[in-house]
Amino acid sequence: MTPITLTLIKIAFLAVLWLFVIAAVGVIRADLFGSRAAERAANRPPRPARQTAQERAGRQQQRQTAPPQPGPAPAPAHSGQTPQPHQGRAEQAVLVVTEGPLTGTTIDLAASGPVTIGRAPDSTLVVSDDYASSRHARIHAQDGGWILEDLNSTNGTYLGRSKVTRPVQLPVGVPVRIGKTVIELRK
Amino acid sequence: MSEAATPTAGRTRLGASLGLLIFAIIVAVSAFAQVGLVRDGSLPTGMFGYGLAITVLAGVAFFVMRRFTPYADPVLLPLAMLLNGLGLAMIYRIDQTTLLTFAEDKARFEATNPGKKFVPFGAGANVFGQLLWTVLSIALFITALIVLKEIKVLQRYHYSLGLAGLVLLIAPIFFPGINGSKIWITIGSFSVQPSEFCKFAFIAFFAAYLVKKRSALSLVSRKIGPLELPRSRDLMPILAFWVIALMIMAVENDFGTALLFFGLFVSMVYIATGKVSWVVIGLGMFLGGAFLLYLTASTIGGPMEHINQRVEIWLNPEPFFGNGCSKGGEIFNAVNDPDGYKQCLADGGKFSNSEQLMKGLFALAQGGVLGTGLGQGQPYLNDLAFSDEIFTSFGEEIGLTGLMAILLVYVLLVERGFKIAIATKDEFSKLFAGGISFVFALQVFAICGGVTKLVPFTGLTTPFLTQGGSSLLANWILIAILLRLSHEARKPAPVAIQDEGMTQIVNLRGANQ
Repeated sequence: MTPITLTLIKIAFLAVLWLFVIAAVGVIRADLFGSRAAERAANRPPRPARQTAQERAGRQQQRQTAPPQPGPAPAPAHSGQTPQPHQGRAEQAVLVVTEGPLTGTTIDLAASGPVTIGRAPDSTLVVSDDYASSRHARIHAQDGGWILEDLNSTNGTYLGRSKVTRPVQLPVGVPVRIGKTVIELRK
Repeated sequence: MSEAATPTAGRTRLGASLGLLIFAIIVAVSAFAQVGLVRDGSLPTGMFGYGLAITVLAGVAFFVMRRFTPYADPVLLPLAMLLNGLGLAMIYRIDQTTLLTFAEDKARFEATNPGKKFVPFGAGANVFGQLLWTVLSIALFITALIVLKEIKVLQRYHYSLGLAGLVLLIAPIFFPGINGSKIWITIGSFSVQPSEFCKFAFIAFFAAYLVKKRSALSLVSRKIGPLELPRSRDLMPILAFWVIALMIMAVENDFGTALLFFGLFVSMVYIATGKVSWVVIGLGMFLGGAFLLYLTASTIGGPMEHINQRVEIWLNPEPFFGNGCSKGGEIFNAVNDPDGYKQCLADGGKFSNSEQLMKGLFALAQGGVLGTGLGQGQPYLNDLAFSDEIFTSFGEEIGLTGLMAILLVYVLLVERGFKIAIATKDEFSKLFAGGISFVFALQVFAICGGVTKLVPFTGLTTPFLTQGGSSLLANWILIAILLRLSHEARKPAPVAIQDEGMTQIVNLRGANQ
């Protein structure tokens, strides 16, 4: 084999190796990219920026529906339990844990459906806290908004300063206290 | 740390995963092809066999992942498979028995040197053995993926696991060392590196321990100057582990292993408490302790001399290349000054050899930016080319460009691990995933730093690349655990079948599929 062929083979292999790394970064980017835009939207004051933030989120979803990677399309989500995108504009919301051991954890409400909070291991947000009940509270969608419901917990759920006794509408940005954990709805 | 939910949470990303996995197999097989094309001038026969084996293994692993953890992180399996495949290709390249002309060479040697045994370069590299280990590792990976449904189960056995880890860590003291490090358990021709399995046991133990003690460690503190210092009684565990780490360094003579486990502990305390003061305390203790140990060793001498020797080689390897002897601050090299060397040995000087380290550095220099090309260098000249020094073997043949790609693959692996740690919803899993990711990062740092003379040389393995069963087995189990944790974190929440207020019927089986 001539030296030039050997060099070409060598360069080709390095190129393939780097292409793999770039492809892997691409897959990861698809995981992360949306989060950056959504975070920007979440940090903005809700009222004046709502329109643009939602438009951004809508565009972003359209991008995701296009296959972002080679290979067969991802298997469809089972039995359609995850809410479809574009179902309702009000559903673009995340729950953010602002206090307690799980600070920083976020739950995408649109993707996860009804959210249960408690010590039970199958809860959406598992809090290991002596002041929380196994099934403490639940947040679910209704009429384009979100409903907070206390599941008869021992120490109660507080929305702002008032104890939640019956299902109430969950407003954006008001802290919900469950034991030592505080969560907040953000759009 | 606040991060909005990912757009792909609650969706499987099996397509992306399969695509990347196929890509990884292509890269590994083309590495085999390149070795064959260059060495033998044709596609090697081994390529088809090994290529097929890698493909089947990857396929089975993917199928199991698809069946049991479909929501798992899409890039972990391809990244690990790529590293494993590249490692196989490099060992295949170093293993001279895979040469087409091997039988011929052997016959010629035996004809000209009757009665002598033919020992090719790179003896010890065994690509077929490594393939068998890979098969076993994938089998264990699959078992772990299926059996470990709830990682939290490990929380119950944390003291047993911690004890098992400690026993495994200490056991090698009673076995003969290899290359000066006592980090192997040798039974006959079969040797296990238990520190690899210790990683798993200790991560589980630390995670469970910190879940219990988190508040005490993070909330109670005294402020002295800018540093928040923990109470002295909270310092006990870190102190205990510090003593253990120093003992590893002193008795097992392995800086890397000590760094790995002490670093793991400190990092997990940091993850649990979020207090920088723990990192400062830990780093200070480790570096100060290592220095103290060195000072003690140089004053006492005698049984602790080997520590000195390690440090001397690390700081100044050149005079020890090809056997050297140091006495009273003077170093006599066996090649440049044979008489002085003999005299020094006769006078009771200390013998050291920096051959592996130096040859590794030569290999890196030989490789340069683009490398010599797979199959065109001479990495097999280093006795440890397929194990401790495999990183420099890659450096020689695929150059800095290729090494950066490999390091990036490790970076991505670690990044995904930390991402999983953030996404999981209970503290034990968070600490577990964080610990696994950090241990990967620290291990790569320790070994790469060791072969590039940044830190003292260590007998740790390069995850997935190095020839050796214990490392492969342990690392594939860790990958299985990460996959399981990411599946639990990303799968959609169980959905109520009917909405009836306080009592809910929840379809758990549906959500697992």
